[in-house]
Amino acid sequence: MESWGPMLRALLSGPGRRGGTRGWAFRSGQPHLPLAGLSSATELVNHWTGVFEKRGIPEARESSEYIVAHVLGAKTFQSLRPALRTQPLSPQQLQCIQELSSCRLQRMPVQYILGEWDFKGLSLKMAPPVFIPRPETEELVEWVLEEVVQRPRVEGAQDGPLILEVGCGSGAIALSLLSQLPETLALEMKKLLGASLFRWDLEQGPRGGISWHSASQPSFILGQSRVIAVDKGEAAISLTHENAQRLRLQDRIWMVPLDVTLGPKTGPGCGWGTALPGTWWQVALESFTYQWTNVCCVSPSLSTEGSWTHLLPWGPVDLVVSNPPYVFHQDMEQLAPEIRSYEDVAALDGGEEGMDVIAHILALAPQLLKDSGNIFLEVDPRQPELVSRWLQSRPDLDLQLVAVRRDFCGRPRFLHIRRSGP
Amino acid sequence: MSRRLKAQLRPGLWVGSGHVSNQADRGKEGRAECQTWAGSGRARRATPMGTSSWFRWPAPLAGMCTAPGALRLWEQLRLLSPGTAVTAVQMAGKKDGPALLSLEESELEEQFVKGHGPGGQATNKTSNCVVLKHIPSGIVVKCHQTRSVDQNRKLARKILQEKVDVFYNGENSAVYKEKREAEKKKQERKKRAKETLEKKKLLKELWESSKHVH
Repeated sequence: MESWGPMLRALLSGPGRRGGTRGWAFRSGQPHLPLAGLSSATELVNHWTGVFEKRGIPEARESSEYIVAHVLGAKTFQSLRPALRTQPLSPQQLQCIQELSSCRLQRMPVQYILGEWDFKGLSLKMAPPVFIPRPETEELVEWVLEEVVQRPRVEGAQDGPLILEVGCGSGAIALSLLSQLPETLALEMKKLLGASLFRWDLEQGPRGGISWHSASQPSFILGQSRVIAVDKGEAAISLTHENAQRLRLQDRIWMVPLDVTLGPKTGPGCGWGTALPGTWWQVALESFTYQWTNVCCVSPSLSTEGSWTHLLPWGPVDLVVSNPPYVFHQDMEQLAPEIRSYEDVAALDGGEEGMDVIAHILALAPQLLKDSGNIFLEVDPRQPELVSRWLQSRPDLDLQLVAVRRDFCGRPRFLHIRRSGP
Repeated sequence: MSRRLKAQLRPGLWVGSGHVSNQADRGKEGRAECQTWAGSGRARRATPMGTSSWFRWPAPLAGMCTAPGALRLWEQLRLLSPGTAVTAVQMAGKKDGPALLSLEESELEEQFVKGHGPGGQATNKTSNCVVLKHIPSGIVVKCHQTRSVDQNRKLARKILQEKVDVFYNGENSAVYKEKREAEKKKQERKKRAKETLEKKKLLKELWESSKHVH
């Protein structure tokens, strides 16, 4: 991680505008200047592909295509107008390609180099070390949408679903769900009832309290589908917020910095295999305050007793969705340098058998999920079996594994779990 | 694990698309896929991208073989409107594109470069190119228009659908029909514009002559 420190600073300071040139202060190693006479997009792609291949960079051609296309203002090389591919490039463009390619030579993921990536048709900002959304996860969103649109809502038919996402990262799942789910009566209700419909309770616990900073924005508005996005990473919360604003979805998403695995320990060896009933949500944060809207600030001195109840003003949720860290701990060191060196390992490491965070989410569900509420998870292909066994060992949770869905490579990747009652 | 699933896990191999629910059911007797996929019971929510399979108890197959016309329309709308979950309500009000011959997932083969490696969180591949082949006609479509696999798959199906339509229907294909329609409308507009111009001219002359008289 230390090796990319200076690179990270350079990245975070850049505006990341597609199509323009960006001044990268960072220089790495020897400059690989194109040979004299090479000046068109196609020639540059070929040149840099060769450079990457010689240095053992994986996806040499894809990487150089994305970089060149990005500098020319396109998302992919194939979508670039054929005329633009043979046109000579300006010196600034060549310089920009040179700099971005240097980053690739340092095994930086392409998504961080470009500063953006697409997910379900949305363009999201990417910044290390926030986890880069994987293409498989698009199918998770697709499945959730199918379920949500099909299922008629029993209680409060005009309410959009309230969704809890655990581990929002860059906001990919939360924002793609919101962008696809209808707003239904949102606007009419807004007019009729005014902006703010929810009153927050300011509770004073024995050792402190919570204050909700809901600044200038109103709270959730009836009729809208909305998301509570939770992540233990400050950078992730920040990035989700930024992406929400870019997509103008900030009114429908609430970001909560929270570590769902922190809970009162009731005994020794609290691994994923042991049961931890009762209160789960302990907020153990440094005292940082958020100036943004829709992000709650929680005091660090909060009592853990009944702490999860402070999330209940939002009401029990209709749906929990998550792409939790599920990599087996013993597999972590086999990950590619792109992942190990640049992405947050906490977003990947699921502990022994990758089940730590999954178990915590499932154990929390009965307290946060409505009756007959649903949980959708992305997991490792070895985990459906593990989850099934774990759920059987915890009949007290009233959770049932309803379905397992495969990804586009045919691996069992997604789980649908339902809560079957009070 | 079935043969088909095994094939999917080998890198770089042509991946046979799984049959998902009703698309292959319509009017096609004796299709083994209908019965073997235990999961394909959703009458409405069929994903057109068939490599996902469901481990669900299937709905009665009879329920899926509804009026072929209606089903086709819904499938077309799903194919033509990428990125949106189409409901019956949306379907009713939606303006239809040209009525293209719909594709059957069981006749498609998709190849993903992601076939190898553990996938998911453990890999970060950016090669999102989708290669889609229509087996009966042999038409292959390669799509790398976007950076999203999901979008590329939908676009690939759309492009393939048009190509297949042209392949089978030639001059009668929707694409050509649309072109002819557009051309026809253009001609009509020109004609009307010309007529209007002449009428104006005539009126002007009449006005001129009446002025003259007074």
